[in-house]
Amino acid sequence: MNCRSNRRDFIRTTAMAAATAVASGSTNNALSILSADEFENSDVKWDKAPCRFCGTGCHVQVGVEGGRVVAVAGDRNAEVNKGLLCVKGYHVGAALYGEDRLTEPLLRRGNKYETIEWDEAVSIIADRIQGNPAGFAFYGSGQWTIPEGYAAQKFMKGGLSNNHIDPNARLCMASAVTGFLATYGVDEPAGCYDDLDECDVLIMWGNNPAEMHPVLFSRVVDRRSRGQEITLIDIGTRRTRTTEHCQHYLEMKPHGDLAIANGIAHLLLANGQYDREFVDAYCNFKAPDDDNPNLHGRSIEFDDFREMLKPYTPEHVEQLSGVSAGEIRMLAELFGNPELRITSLWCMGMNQHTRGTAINTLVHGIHLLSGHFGRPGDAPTSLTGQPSACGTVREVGTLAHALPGGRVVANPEHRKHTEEFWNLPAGRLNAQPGYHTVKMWEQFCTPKEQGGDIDTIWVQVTNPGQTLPNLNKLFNRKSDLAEKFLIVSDVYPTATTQLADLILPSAMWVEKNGIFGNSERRTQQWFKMVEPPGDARDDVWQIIAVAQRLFARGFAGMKDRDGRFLFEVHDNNGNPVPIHSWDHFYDTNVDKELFEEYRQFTRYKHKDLAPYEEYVKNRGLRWPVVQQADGQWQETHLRFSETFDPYVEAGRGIQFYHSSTNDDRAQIWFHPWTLPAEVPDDQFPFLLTTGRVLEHWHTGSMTRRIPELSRAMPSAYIELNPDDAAELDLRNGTVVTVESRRGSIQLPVWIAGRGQPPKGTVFVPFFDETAMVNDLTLDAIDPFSKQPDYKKSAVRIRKA
Amino acid sequence: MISGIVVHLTCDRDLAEQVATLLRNQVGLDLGEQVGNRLPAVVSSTETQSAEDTTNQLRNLPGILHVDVVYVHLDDG
Repeated sequence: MNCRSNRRDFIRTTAMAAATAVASGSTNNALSILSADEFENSDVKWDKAPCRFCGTGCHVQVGVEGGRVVAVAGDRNAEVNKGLLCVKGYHVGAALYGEDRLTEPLLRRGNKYETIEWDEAVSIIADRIQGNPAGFAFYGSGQWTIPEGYAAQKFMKGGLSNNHIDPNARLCMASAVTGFLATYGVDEPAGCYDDLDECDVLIMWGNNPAEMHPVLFSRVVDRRSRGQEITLIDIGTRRTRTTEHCQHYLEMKPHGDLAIANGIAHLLLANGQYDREFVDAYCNFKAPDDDNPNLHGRSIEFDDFREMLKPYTPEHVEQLSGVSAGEIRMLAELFGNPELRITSLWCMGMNQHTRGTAINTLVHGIHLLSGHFGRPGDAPTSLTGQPSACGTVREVGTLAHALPGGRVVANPEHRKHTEEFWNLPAGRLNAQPGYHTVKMWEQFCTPKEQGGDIDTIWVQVTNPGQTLPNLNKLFNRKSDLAEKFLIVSDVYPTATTQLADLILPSAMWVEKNGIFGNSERRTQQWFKMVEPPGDARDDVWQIIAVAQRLFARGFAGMKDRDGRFLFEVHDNNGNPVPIHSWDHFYDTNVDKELFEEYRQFTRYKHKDLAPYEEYVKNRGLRWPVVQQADGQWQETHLRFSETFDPYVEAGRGIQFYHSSTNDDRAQIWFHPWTLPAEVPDDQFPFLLTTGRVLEHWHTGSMTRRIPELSRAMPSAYIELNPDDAAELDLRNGTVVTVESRRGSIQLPVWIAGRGQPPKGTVFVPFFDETAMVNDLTLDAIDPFSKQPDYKKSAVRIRKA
Repeated sequence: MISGIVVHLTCDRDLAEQVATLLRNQVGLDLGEQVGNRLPAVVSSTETQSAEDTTNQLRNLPGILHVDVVYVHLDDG
């Protein structure tokens, strides 16, 4: 047998060992697969990392040989995925090796890009900032690692006294944040993924986990295949792969979710099936304050709440939502049964919604009203789309109004805390919230003489040229504005780099150290395993290098109150390490330095993080992570419950200890049903929804460069109902022009494809930069979260 | 490309056995020892059919509830 056969047999044996171990539920370390005697000569080195893609936070074992990632295995020691991976996860290693990786800084001169040195690139950014510090904005991401986001946050708010920093997560989970804040007074889910293993009923609200969070859905399907009974309910606007596994599919009209939630609450009260003991002990009631709209609304009494819900009879809800009165009664009966454990899951369907804050609070409300809260399996749980939307955006607070650890810029006490942690002179932090995402890009794409006061944006780890809504208004106008300057740090050319003035090549995933925080409060660490290509460098280095250039030029903001550089770190002898110099950046672990500094912020809202080294040892830990008497660090499965949460006082049972009403109670909200911001009419008769597909992650900038994924799903399409297709005389593959009030694109038709929209509804995925569906989408936003609605735009269709 | 997969079979024993028999005869697919209703397997891609095509094909077979991929070697081996 030759060497090639030996090697192939070895790989095949390793693959079978991994599959057998997962099939048998073994929890042996995956590395043991490769250290068996017959394989001891393998040169593949393995280490752990969270997957680069979605917010699930699966852990992978990454195999490195000859300086390249050559293999990926699901990590059986990881509680999240128990050794499983989805189609994107098992190809994640190939995302590093697309042929067109950016490898050197590029500066636009006229219509061409010229290669420049990093030193010049850093100076150009420093020049733009010094020219107009208040006109500079930073647009980041839920794909920033925690140290990257923390550095950007400190650079902007601490260094420039400038709050114009916002992430793409504004586009995906801002309404979940405002929903949690309005209900519990503090952000992020009380439950965790373990609830999926414990619940009797799983309700997916506008959610398609079979494609978007497939490993989590696999955990549920696996329970059923083992003979466990679990009722799956899909409430959605089109049939998806998730629907195929559900006993109940409740097809709703857009914004029908508002009516459905109110209908459930109505019946719980009308039938006397609400949990009176739970409500009396732990809840208040709220309604919107129409005279002064704000996140905390106005307090109401139980009888007011009951009165407001009176119109939402099952029959009326059927008219509003399209879901039958019988199905509304079925949902209410489930919630009214205290013997069941009910978990609600949602993601973009409830968040990308001009009433996103409202529907988030309503779903929390029916869990609280029915007492389906605080036990394993009884949980309202939002999912995120990005790997560190929670860790970097929601916890570090890389939002225009926020400071680290749940603080806000408008609060003087919070600014004082932050100035003390950062050793800044009093008054350095700006009290005025910066521009949220839509406003930031609107200001950037507006001429200065017309009030467009943002003249430079630095984009890292995201692709707004494809993901912003209403692109012709919020991005494409930049091409006509010579005074505007766009800086983009990325790993591949994208729709955003097409309009960039300066392009910076970045390291990605295991080409750098990192820490992510996933959807279930789990903080996950990994180490650099391979070198980035060419002259690509870490995003956090790029931030620190610019900060140091400003410091060297005497820019006052980059000095702390003792005159030291904001990002100064020291070696074991107390000497400064010049981490702004790339040659010395890895002389120390900058991630650890930044993380330990950031960790101080996390205790204020009881989101305690453990020391960095604890995350090195574990496949993530769910905060609050609290040190025990024996010195061990213990994570928390379920917040606000005395059984699990160390911050709940003894004897309290449930305690919402960050209650916005300062009485340890959560808020049950009433919000009325309203129509969407745009509805189909005679001129634009179809409802357009957008989203992802299984094979591609977000804009496809990574997954479209993985041949297997690209071939499996090569380009965008428009899903049509067969009756609509027949009326328009369209067949599979027919190219149509899809047009909204904001733009038009051309797409091939897919009838009765993977998803099955009802008559009058169409779906277009957003992964394909050759067919930009966000040329069509609406930029209307939720008034509280400022999150746009990508799910409800009116379009018309004609043969191209 | 070589992939390690776990095939989740239906609780219906007859149907599970039928599909397991079918899989045993499939070219490019090596089966391991069944554990409960989970069947470990290795997919070796060929010139005409990629591992992804094979796993998608498996997902659509009667008697298979789900297919998880747990290991992938990225090059040809």
